[in-house]
Amino acid sequence: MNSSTRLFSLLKKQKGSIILLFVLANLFVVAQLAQPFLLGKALDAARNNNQSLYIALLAVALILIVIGVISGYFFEALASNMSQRMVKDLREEIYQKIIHMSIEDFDKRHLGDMLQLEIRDMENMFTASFSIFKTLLQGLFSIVVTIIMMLLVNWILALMVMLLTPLSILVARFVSSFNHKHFKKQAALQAEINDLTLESINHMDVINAFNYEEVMADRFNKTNEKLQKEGIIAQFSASWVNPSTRLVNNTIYALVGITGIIMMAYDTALAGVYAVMSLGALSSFLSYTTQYGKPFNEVSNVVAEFEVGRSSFKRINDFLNLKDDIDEGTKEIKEINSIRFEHVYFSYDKSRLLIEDFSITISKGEKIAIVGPTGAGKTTLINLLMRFYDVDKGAIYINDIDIREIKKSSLRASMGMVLQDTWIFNGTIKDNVSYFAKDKDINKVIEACKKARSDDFIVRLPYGYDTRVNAYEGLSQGERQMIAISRMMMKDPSLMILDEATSNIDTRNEKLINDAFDMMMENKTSLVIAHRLSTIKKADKIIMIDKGQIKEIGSHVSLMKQKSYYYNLYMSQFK
Amino acid sequence: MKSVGQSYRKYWLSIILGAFSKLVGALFDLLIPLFMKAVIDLNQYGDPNLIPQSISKNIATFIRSFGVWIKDNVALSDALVGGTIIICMGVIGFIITMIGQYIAADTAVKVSNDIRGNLYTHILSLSKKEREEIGEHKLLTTLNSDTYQIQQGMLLFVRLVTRAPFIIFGALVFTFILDYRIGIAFSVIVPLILLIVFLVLGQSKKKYILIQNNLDEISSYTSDTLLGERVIKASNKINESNEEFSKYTSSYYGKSKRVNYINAFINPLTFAVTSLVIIIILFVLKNNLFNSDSNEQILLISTLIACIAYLAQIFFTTVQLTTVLIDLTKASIARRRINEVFIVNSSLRSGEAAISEVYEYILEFDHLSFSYGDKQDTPTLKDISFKLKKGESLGIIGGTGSGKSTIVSLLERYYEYKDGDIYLKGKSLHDYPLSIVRNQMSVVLQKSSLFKGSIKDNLCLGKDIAEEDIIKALKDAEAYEFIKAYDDFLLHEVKENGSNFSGGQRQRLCIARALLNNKEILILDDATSALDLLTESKIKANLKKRNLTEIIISQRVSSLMSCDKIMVLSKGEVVSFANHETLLKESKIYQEIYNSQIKEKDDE
Repeated sequence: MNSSTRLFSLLKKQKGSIILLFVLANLFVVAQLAQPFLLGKALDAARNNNQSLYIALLAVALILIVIGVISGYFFEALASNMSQRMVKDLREEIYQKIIHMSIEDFDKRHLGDMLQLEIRDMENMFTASFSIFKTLLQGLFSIVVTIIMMLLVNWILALMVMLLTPLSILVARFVSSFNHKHFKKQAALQAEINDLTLESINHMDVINAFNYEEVMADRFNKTNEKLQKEGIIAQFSASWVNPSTRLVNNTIYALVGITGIIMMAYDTALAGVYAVMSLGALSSFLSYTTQYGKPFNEVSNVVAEFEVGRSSFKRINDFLNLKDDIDEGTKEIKEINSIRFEHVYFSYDKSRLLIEDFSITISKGEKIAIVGPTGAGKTTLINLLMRFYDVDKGAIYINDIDIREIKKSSLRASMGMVLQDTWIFNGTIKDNVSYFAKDKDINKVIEACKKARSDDFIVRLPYGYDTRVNAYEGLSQGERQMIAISRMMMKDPSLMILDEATSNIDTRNEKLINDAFDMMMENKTSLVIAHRLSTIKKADKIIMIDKGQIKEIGSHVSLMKQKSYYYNLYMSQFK
Repeated sequence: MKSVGQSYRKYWLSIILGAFSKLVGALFDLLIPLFMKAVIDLNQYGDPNLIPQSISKNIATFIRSFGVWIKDNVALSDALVGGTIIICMGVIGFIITMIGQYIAADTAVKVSNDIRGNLYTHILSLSKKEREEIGEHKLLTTLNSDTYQIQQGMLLFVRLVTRAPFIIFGALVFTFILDYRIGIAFSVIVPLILLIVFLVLGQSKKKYILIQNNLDEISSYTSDTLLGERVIKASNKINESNEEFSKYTSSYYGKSKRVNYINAFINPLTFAVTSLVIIIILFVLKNNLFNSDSNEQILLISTLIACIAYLAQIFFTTVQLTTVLIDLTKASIARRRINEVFIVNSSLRSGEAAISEVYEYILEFDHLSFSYGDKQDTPTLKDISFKLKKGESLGIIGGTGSGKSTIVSLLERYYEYKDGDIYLKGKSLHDYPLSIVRNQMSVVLQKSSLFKGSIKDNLCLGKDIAEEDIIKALKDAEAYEFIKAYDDFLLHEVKENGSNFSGGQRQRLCIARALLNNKEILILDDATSALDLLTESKIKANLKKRNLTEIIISQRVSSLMSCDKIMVLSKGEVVSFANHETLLKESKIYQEIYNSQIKEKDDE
């Protein structure tokens, strides 16, 4: 979907509000702009000594004020509420996309950028939308109504004002086109600073340990200086808009006033062309020229906000245009009985083959360990099995069904996965542990935590199971892993995948956790990736892989007898 | 102590200069309606001296002083000369205003950059404890968005702080001079408008803070989702997550709506007040208008024309002031938040001592106890004592949460300690400047921290290091092989957090970095956990050759069994302290650990 189509569909949802906004804006604007007209007429009535007309005109003005206040209030409230509504919908849509996008697209993106879509870009969208529906709408109506009012008073002066005002627009246009370039540069530098600060705060321990503060401060200051230079230019160029439109408006004010004064002197000649000029008419006109300039001023302000909003919307649109992770599979699986990799080929980056002709069969109840040097492709196998990525060639079968025919949700739900980089979200320990469970009974949570050995440290936390934790603070790496394992203990899946899941847990606890796993996974399949060979010795099959290919398969005992790859690896821990 | 105010004060002259230029520019804007009235009067009366109002008469005389250019049509000439003068005033006002605008942009950006720079340096100086207390999120928002708010606030402040009141006040004064009755009416409405604005803003300001909290929630929930993408995808929680997220957006929406309903009062009410005042004036002046002769009537009407123009200026400026106030409110919140960071000082004690190379022990812990926060009853470290000679190696082993990493945190002076002491080369850590302490040791932390940049940037960390040294370190860290494979070798890109490397590669890069830092003491905190055993043992052998004083923290016995001394930690206490052989014989916990990891081999 291109941006305009998406924008149109967004607006379509707000059809009712937009129509109402048009009506309210009209009422508000007419009530406001009728005032100078009525006053001018009243002054002329005074010149002609017509008291009753004078009173009547003032009364009409009074009624319009009341209408103006009411319509104005609802106009403003509706304009901002509608914009908020739109932002709310967009926010939710983006969130949907975040959880439905494919892992491949996800891995290509910066987390920070995606986060900013929800925060800064949304704020920009709100400002832009509010500007358009409030300021722009009101401004455009004001311009039209003023023109009509002016035509009612004196068409010659009205034409003059109409001919001169494009000047105001031209100036605003010129100035903002100049701005755009500088704001873009400023934004790029701002992003650079943001990255730098994020990095500094993430890596502060290392910065401190290596006395790297000065170098970082230096880098920061350099970028900050660049930002300063660009910022001054950007802010200054933006600040031309108001004074220059004011200059144009002052000039128009002077020209209209002087022309009006001169016209009054040629009263009789102008009567012939229905353009009689009076003091009252001059008063209306001078009011209109001051007011007429205002919407142009405001509309020109909108330009900047609109620009910012547009680039945000483009980012949002690009993101929403990402394809959802397609789930072409239709079959459901309940339990995993067998897994078969058949001549699987895969690479992330087409120039470097990562998995090459990989075949293996795993049957129910087996405990499989995958070992091999870093970068051998162990984690990739998991990515393929869970269909975060699809194989390039060959196929993977579960229960003899090609996994591409199985619903992803069904496939993934049947597996339990614990990764080295554990995920702890903002919530209580209990929330985190019971994440997968339908029944969030605290006793079950405690039971799972006891099995995963995490109960010991959880009870020592300030609020026990109700202690709030988040992605950054509160727990050590090992503790995080134990929470993630507790979570899996509670899920009780039919296939368990452990990818370096206990790497930061001490070995005594690790052993106890593994015993608990073994008990839970009896008659079920598990797949373990670990560097600590002690964890996998009991595996039914150990698959030794290197460079995406299987080097050896066998039990610990049989592989030790072969005195080859595995043997060397195993013996190295005693050197 | 640094503060936001300090940066403001640094630029006081620019602030005043900028505001002053804007003030002069505003004066020209104010004079235009007055001149227009004078031209009308001059046109209606024909001669400046006939105008019965002194201010208008004086201006008319001034206009006439430029001469009569069209002799047979004096009225036309006056109108044209007057018009030219008004346009010229507009241009002069514009030029002076633009000078003010430049100064405003220059000052605002410089002030905010000054604050950002100070803030960054300040944050660098804080200890980990303070950073954790303030929170990462807040540190980032103050650095990035709050400083921007300050900039926008300052921009508006310089541009409008004098201009807005001056226009309002000046317009009132001129109105008084023209007709005191209208002046009185106008002076009533200015406070009225301001009252409306402040009442409304006062209400909405409180709500703004609540909205901000909601936005933080949305941000943290999104961030959680992003971090847990894989786990969420592997769960059936997608709908639940959506619902949960909707809860946050709905709450944000609801609160924003309430603020909108309050804010929407401002413009319609101010419109009502300004329109009403004119109608009231016309009612009051009705008798004067209808009972006066034509000449007085003309003067009254031309006065009204000028006053209406002033009212327009008062109105626009007050409305402008309200939007400015919203931004200034945001800036003041930002200022408060930034100052909250500035006010926090590092809790780390430090002295001025220099390193002396005459000492018995390179490192000594003397009855050290430590706890994070205020939980004194369950300290993280309890009464730790040990001594280490130069060139010796110390292994620290223990379960999760036993306090192993805390020892590193204290050595690196991330946290302040109170009970007991740590001596480095004979003097307490408190006696040295922080940089000297840290300069004595190289550390590889549990979490591999890599910076965005190139491999070389990450290894050298700003220092100038010869390529052969880099290669040597890479070889010792067993990282040379995989780096050699890159076409761009050392200039190969490192993405944010080193995400383009595997865990093991990141650890090896961090080890190489620590070796290049080249200090006498090397601390490895679970630094090889993602490495396979073969690679680890090679690295260990390479390190041996370097003759460093090593502190190796690990959960693997194999990683540290060759150390001269091994400390077994449990729940923050030293349970055994000896070498591998003795521990195997004497320490029950060590035996257990050893058995869980290694012993079984003998059974098979």
